[in-house]
Amino acid sequence: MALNEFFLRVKSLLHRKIMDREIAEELEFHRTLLRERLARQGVAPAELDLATTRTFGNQSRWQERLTELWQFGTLENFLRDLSFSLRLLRKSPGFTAVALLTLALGVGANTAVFSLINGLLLRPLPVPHGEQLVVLRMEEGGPQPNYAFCTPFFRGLESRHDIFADVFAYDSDILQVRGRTTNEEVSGMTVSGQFFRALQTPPLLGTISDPGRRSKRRQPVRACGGGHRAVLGDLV
Amino acid sequence: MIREESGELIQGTLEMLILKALARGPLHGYAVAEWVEQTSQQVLKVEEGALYPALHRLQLRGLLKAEWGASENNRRAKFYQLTAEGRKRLSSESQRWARLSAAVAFVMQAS
Repeated sequence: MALNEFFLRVKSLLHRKIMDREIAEELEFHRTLLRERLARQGVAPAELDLATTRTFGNQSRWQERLTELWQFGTLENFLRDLSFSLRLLRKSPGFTAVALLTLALGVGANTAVFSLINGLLLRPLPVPHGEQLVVLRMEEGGPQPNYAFCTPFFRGLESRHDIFADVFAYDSDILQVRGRTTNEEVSGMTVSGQFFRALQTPPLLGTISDPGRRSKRRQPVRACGGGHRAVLGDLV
Repeated sequence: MIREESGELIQGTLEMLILKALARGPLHGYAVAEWVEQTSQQVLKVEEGALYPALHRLQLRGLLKAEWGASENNRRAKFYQLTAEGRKRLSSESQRWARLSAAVAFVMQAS
């Protein structure tokens, strides 16, 4: 649609009443001239109206067609449908309430489930090359895959670097930390030696001693999550 | 649509005839129909149901512009006038028509 045409249509939309009147006037003018010509051609005055109508056709139909021509067909139909639906909805508030509630619950539940899945499964961990991290599991024919490995087997995996650059084990746990006055429970994670190297993320405070030395003592490294910086500073 | 004694003219012809009628100056719808009928020696009849939609379409496409003025017997009437684009369209349409009608005549004269 050309710009000029668009403006003309907008103008007719804003001046719908004037537009309708002008179309009616234009058609009426034509009809009058036609009637005069028929009179000149010798049609009897009694039959003049009928003859004019027969020649001219259905004036209100022409009017309708011309009005349609100036409208934004699809858009205006859509607006008419919209206002009609709104009127219907207002007339039956019970139905509207149920429909709205259903929609709201449906949309809400979907959003919640999706954000959960997005956070847990779709978005990689916020560490460098998070997309390269994988979780290993063992399938032994049982209904549930096994994510826990016995220590010798895990040490075997840990010492090989041909498939994975680094391998670490982790286990979420509630740890007890001695605070200034009492012991506090802190949610933390027990991880094995290559944890920080594999995630390419340094600890917030302090240094991690060489994994090789750590493994001789066979003591797991403890790491607390963020938000416990004070604890880290005090104790680790 | 425009009717000939036998059958209808090719679609789009009415718009070309309207442009042609307005080439000599502004006219109202009735005068356009009258001019086409008289000039074609009553062979072509322009129906009102087709005339006004065509006029308004041409106006929407910017080939015509319309103004209200006084008619011969001092009635208020909507006068149509060619725009520059309308003139351009008229000349391209008449060339196309000349080629087309000559070609049809040529074919029909073949023995």
